[in-house]
Amino acid sequence: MSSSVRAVSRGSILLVALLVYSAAPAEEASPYRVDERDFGRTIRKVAVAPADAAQRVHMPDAVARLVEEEVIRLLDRKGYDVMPVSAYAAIQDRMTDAVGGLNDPSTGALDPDKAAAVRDHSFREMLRSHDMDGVVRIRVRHVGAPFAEDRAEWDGVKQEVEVRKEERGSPYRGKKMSGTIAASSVQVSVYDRNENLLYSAQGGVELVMRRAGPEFEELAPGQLFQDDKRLRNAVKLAVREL
Amino acid sequence: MRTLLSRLTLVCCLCTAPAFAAKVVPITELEAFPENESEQSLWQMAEEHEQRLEKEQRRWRNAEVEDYVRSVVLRMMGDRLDHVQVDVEIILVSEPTLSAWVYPYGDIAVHTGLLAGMENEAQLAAILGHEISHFVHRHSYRELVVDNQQSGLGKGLGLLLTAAVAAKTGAVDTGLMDSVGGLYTGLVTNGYSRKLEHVADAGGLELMAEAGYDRAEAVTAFEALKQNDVYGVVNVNTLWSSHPKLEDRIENLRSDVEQARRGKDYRPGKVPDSASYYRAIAPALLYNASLDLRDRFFDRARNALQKYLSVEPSAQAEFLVGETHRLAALEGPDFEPRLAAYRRAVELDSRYAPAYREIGMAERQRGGAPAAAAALQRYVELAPEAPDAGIIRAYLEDLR
Repeated sequence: MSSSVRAVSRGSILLVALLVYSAAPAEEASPYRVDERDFGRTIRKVAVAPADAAQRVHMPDAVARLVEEEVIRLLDRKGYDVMPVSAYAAIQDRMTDAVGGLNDPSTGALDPDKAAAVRDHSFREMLRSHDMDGVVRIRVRHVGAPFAEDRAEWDGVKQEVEVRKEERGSPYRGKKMSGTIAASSVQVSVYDRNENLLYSAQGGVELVMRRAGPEFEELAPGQLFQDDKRLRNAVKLAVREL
Repeated sequence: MRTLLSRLTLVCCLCTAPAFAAKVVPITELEAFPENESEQSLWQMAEEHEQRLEKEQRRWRNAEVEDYVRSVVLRMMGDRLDHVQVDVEIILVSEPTLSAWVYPYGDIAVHTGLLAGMENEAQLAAILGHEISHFVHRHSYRELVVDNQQSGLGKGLGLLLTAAVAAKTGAVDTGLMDSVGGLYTGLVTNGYSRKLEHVADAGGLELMAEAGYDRAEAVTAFEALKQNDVYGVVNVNTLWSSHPKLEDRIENLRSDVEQARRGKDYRPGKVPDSASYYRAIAPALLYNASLDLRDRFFDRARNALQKYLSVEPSAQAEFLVGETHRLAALEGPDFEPRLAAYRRAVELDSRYAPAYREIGMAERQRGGAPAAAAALQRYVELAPEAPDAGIIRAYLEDLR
């Protein structure tokens, strides 16, 4: 996604802004895919799968641990019986070892077929060996965040768009813009024992790009996930309806 | 950017269109097609949309099924378009919902879900006839140029420009939304008024009758579009108040069919048998079942697989039937329906590895260690390089 938004013409930004303006505001959809009362009746004991990151999201292990711990802490506080991530992680690690690792030995790239096999068998093995009502999956992913006058708002959070300082004489110097910029969000999903999706919600973490005149630049990995407060808030937003 | 340019061109053409906007005649009355620059611009936008399907890998290519659908279209068109040399292409779209649309130059897109949802060729012909009718009467161009000019461009520029790219029947497909504006929903729904839909419905019935199909099958075909409710998608016809509701259209079709029956020149058409239809679209039945399985619409998947198996014994189809039972209830406790399907699969093809894996997994789950070990062993022998072969070997170690 980011390659397509890396360089966006001013015209496109303005066009997007125009269309966003002309669209009627959408009603916020419920994160529940089933009746909320049925969810409450059937889902009490949950296993939490290790947090994963979508392609192109460089999530350090420490960030994954922080997000997992926060999900467990909040679910525990909401009265769920939560199994530690270690239970799921142990099975997942065993499966990963059995397939000889998830990366192609020659290219180092992730082998999607092996990843799918590990995911599938880990889930089946969890069902076989643990008594639980469902599984909580955590994923950090990139999303499009609409921004107006250089202020972005997505998945329950707001953030000023960082703007690279323009040189004197540049037509973009001091100009505020509107459009859509890439951001990261934490997604929390709950599945039942048959892998039916029951709940899915997101909380915004941070923008992963800055604006340079009419174009966008990706932020370096070292500039991302630096604010624990933002991460904790993203988790809080993603589980608040549970 | 090309899309933007073609839209701007179309805006310019629309501004200068009044001279020819007074009447849009059917293609059958034209000598050349497209008629003018503004229609040419509409075509260009439609081509860009068609190319996007390709780019987004949403096309499902199968020459056999494409040829079959095209043969039905050509049978219905007859020779009425020979003078403008329209070369119709069939675009099969990898989508389990029931939908079809026509581009302004005659290419017809059909969801694999629509093919799977019909019961015989006459029903498919009913939907295709409707799309052909939109095409022959140049409804997209008409809606864009004539009706919208008359309404003072009241529908909004974005919708106007996208409204005429394709006429659609069935489900609104949000996956096809335009990346810059998400306006495709408007495109496929807002573009056709009640009046034009009725013309297309009636025209479709006439085409069916001329091609020798029983018109009554159109009622069943449009009834089948209600299956889209399963997917939680919005039927095209229920989204906009200016558009006739699906129920109303079915009633209209029913009444048109009855009226035709009472006519003195009425000749009953044929209802081709379902088996020939399932045979002609067999690869689409199997493919669409895998889409339904992926999206967890197990009953729909099983239904398509049963249609497939009624004409073609297949280990893969039997295996997928087993998967519809397994995925609907991962742990059982009723293992028999899935095991029966997996066993039928290996009876049909003793080298069909995935069925052995699932027999083994089910037996392991219910505690049948020797049967599990035998089946899992057979799996790793047949598929030693499978992505999960290492995991299955680990299970075998545990079982010993």
